[in-house]
Amino acid sequence: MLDDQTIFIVVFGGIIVLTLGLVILWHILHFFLTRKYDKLLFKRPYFRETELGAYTIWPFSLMRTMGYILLLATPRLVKLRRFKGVHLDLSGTLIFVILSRLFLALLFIDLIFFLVMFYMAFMPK
Amino acid sequence: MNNCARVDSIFYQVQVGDSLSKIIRRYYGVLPLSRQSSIIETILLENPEIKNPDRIYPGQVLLMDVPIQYCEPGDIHTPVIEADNDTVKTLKENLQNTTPQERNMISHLAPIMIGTGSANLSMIEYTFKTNAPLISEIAESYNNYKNGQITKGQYDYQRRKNISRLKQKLGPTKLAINHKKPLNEILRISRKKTTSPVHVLNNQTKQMTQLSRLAAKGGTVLSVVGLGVACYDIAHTDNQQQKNEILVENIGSLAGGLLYGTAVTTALILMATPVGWIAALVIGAGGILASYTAGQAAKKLYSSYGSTIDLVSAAKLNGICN
Repeated sequence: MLDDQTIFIVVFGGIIVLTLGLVILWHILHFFLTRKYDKLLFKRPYFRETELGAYTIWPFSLMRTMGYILLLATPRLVKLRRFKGVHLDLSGTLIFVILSRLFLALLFIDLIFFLVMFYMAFMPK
Repeated sequence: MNNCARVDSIFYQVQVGDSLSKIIRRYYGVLPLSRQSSIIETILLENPEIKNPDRIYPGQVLLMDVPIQYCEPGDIHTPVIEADNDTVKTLKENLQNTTPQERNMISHLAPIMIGTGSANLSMIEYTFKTNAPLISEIAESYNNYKNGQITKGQYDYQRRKNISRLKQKLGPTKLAINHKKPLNEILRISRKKTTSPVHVLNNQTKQMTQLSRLAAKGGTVLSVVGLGVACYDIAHTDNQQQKNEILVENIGSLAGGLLYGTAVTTALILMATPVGWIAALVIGAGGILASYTAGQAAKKLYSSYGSTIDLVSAAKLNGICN
């Protein structure tokens, strides 16, 4: 059995590492994906007029990167509404597909860590 | 047009080509002239800044009553917004003071704002907003002293008292207004003959109000100030256990806010649906709640499982924060 200290370090440390990892990975992907896909995707009808204005300034610009991340990681899901009818040539982008999926995986795991923290914090020991 | 007498109040942003009668027609349909005049009168009452009903301009925000859309017989309807509510009036004034572009940004701001620790931002906004009047009081008491209503001793006492309260209330956030100089040096009476003696005080009040507005709108940089506040608390707490709890709570709160912001951004991008300002406020409130709860959970987790770990000493925060 793990002792209390180790449990705290794993849960709280995990949350910090995962959240920081998410933020850093988001910025790395932002750097590359905006250069690669802005010309192709950052326009009507994929984004609304207000979005086209707002998403050019950091930190709002990270929201358009989120669109590209989702397009690479879960194309079927994001094509339902946001990127209807988009066909991307994915050759040479395997690394970005992997990183995008890693981003979503980190997000999911981070959520689980938070749920664990809430459970442990508010449930009697 | 439905015949339901019950109404909701809305904020309407005037568009190019709008007139009051056009706006009324949009919500009420075609009405007899007398009824239309009565609605215009109500609008004028709720929006006292409109002096001439024929002169409204694009981007202006109107607070107005509109019939609720679907009205079942016997349905009990509680209006979400009531025009005569003071909070709504203040909200309207704040909206009125923003540009249409800023208003459009509100829907995009919410998740980002939360993602960077809106609980801290709200706290800073609150701190500035509630303390700006202390500076105005100094200016006011100076004017009273000059008018012979109070003595110099009374004025000096008032000034010292207000500066001391301000120092205490602002904590590290005072760096935003005084650029490292002591407050009593900043909040002084101007001796220049060309300017009003209290213009420095008025400028500082204005600056604090502007900062409060900036904080209210959300700014990534200010969340760092939020961590500064935690640092201040750590430096001013004697109990090591409490210091650790403050640290863990703030980090947990920030991480919770960031995760919430990321999750909400993902959902918004997937949904591709415009977010209205009410939804933005709901998202914002959710973020504050998420951030706060995450902080509390982290603190409890530390108390229950990690209280033997001295994170503050390990990170040498005592020295850094002092």
